[in-house]
Amino acid sequence: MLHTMNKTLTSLLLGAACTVPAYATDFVGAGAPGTLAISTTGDLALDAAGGSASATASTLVLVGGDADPTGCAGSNYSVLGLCQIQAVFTAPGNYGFSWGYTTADGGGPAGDMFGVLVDGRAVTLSDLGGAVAQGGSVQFTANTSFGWYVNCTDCTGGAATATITGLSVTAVPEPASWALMLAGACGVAGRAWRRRLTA
Amino acid sequence: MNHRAFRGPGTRLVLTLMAAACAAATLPAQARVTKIVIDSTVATTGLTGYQTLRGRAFGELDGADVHNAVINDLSLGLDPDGKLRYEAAFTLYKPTDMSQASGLLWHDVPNRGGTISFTGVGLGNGDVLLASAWQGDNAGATAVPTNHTTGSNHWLVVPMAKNADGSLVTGNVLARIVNRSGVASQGLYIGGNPVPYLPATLDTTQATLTTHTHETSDGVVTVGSVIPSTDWAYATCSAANPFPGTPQNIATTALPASLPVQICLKNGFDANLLYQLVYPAKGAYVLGAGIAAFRDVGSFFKYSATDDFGTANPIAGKITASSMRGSSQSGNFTRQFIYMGMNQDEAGRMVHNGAWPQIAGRRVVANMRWGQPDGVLELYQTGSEGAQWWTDFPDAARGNPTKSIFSRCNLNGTCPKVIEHFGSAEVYALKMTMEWVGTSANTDIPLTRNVRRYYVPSTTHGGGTGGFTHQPTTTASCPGNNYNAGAAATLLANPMPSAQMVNVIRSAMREWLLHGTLPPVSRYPTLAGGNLVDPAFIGANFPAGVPGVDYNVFKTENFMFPVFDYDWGPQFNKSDATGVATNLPPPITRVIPMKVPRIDADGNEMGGVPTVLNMAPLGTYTGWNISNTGFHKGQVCNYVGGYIPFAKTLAERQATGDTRRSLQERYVNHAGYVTAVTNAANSAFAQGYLLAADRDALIAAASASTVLVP
Repeated sequence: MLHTMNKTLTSLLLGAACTVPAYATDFVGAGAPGTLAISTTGDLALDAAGGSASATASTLVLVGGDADPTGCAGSNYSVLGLCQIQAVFTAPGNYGFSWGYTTADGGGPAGDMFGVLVDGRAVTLSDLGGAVAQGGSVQFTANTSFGWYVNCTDCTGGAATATITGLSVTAVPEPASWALMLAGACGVAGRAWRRRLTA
Repeated sequence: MNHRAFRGPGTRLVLTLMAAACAAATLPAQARVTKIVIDSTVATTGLTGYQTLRGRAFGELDGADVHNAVINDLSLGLDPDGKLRYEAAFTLYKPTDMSQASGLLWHDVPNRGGTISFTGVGLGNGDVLLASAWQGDNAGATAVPTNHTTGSNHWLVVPMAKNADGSLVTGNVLARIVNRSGVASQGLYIGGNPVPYLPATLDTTQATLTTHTHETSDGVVTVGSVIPSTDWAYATCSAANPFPGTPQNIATTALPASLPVQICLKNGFDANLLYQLVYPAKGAYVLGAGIAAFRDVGSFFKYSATDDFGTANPIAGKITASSMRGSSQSGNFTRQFIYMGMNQDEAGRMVHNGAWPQIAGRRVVANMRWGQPDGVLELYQTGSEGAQWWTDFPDAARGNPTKSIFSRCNLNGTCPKVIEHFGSAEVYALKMTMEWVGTSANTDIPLTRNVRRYYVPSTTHGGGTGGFTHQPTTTASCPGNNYNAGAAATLLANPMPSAQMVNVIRSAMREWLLHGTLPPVSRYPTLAGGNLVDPAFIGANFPAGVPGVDYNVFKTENFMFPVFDYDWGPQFNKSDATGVATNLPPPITRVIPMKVPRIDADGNEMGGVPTVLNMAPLGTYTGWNISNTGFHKGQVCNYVGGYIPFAKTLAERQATGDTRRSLQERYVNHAGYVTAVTNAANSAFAQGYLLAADRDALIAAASASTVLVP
């Protein structure tokens, strides 16, 4: 009886694990984690000077604003966040990807930040005091949404370009799934203990 | 009879008055420099083709002009006609033949009234250099000489704030005496110069003199006792002239010779105690007028043809661009100048196209009542209040509005191009990183256009002497307000130079302003880049067994000076740092977290511009040192750095337990070291952070050095 129950729990555990899909490797199409929403903050225009975004199945490219000083309200010496181009998925998940960054701004990366938006919270990835060309590979867990941004603090002097590749998204296990996994683990442990007693 | 026959003295008077009226009508309504006086003109020593003019500028500030509204206590310094008047000493270095001028004016900010050293300031290429006074506290190096036509320092005459009845404004001032002993009286000093404010009364019952037995670097004070008012006096005393001694002269007419204010203790001074005095003072100078004076003198020499009396501006019409420039205290002035919106003159013009604040991370205390501009951010000194960054950014931790140093100039398009540079000592003692990551210390604040930032890693304040000497003998002293009585610090002086980067910046600023050539990209440590970490990281990762380092220095209470958010009282504007501080000593409401650059396995800093000695090190170069005597023994030695050479051989370092690789392990021999220097120099040059001449000089110096020479 107990053996049967443990077997059932183990099956449930395996089933739960099987419900955590590595469900996305694309930015567009059926494999993408929901709709990739492109937007800007402030009055930054979505055009050649204000910023742009383009995605293929494997690559997302964000180009930050490079308008004249009036191209984004308050942009000359603006608060961080006023002049961003953003690309956001509205789906939870564990997001892993590689990124590259370069800027044509004569001042270097200090005025054109690149980063991610984890549940709406900005996390900077580019090194403002570092090289003109940078890159890395990272992973984040988002509960509601995940995206990328390029912020143009001055929106002039040359645009920054961020390239995101190698996207891998796995689902964040639901609490119920965690409970099932825990129960299954207990069952497996219990069966092993019972076997040791009978050995 | 001709018309001339009818012209008598009365006619001339009428014509003169009419001419004056016409002239007045054509003059701008704003106040300005009204008169300049050239007191001397001599050939510039050591600079062929240049001459040095020493003089004074007389100016007035209109109390009703909106451009002056930011000046603290301006209304208390006005003459009956609504103008505040000042007199500012200046020095002008110019090509004798102004047709040889480059068109660039450097407007240098004197540090504590001092002269400008011409070592490496970039003259000789046709640039003009103007230094003019701004610090109007009339004490020490800024003391106004009896004969205004003499001297070489840069002093400024501004009025003292007066009440409506004409009496001097009074209020409380805080001053401290540290590391003093014996029965002789001691003066009240701030950063090496006298505290500029006289006691309002000799009645000691109206003051409070408290002793401290201990203070930590992070602001924890252990109070000793309050010295009874009967046991001390404002007086000069000595063994031969014991307590109560000779009373302090508190007549303002005796200034500045009567400074510093002397304190005499009945039982003498104990070097184990810090003495903190809060006393009623009089003679609050309208210090902010000095910042406007710097503005107006700069504007006059850049734009004006003559003064109101017809005296010609000796560089008139020859200046096409200008940059202000200040180092350390005067770098902080540069930041404060921009913050106050003073880069716009009263005619609405941009005063300076560029600004170069050097080794400066705060705003100078020159626009509050009882301000002490000579302070160096020791405990209970102002300077870190309000926005210290260049992009509008929140300051929620201190409850300040979102602002930046550019907030005011951005409103009228007068923000200058800015290049700033600094090093490690500014991080550890001068509270630099708040400028980079704000008061929450969790975000890299972006730079805006026309701002360049260069961090020169592992340098002491102002950079070291350079060279490739493995075992120098130069010791370091702890600077500051009687901080350690000039005693040697534990570690050797840090030789890591910043001179080569200064050369890059000087050239870059010239080219930027004159020809529009962009300077190299900014380079500094950041959180996102992983090169900006908590101070605890240093203690946890500093190499073990480094000779001469007491590892207790890494304890929070010893290691670095954080920014304190003080409660100065309701009359103090802690965003603008204006008004009056009435809570003395001020409670510390919170300690703002600081960051520091990450270190490598040698203890040398990562991030920032590439420098040769940092890439080819002979030891560990720190932005901090350790006080080895006095009240602050064992703590970071204010803003002076240190140096600990590597062992020469493996056996040598194993004998001392030093975990850092020896010179031989790194470079094998002298040729190996020269190769390392050559590679480093070529790399720094290729990246744009080293001039070709300096590259070649550094390689030659390394080749000529005795490093690993048998």
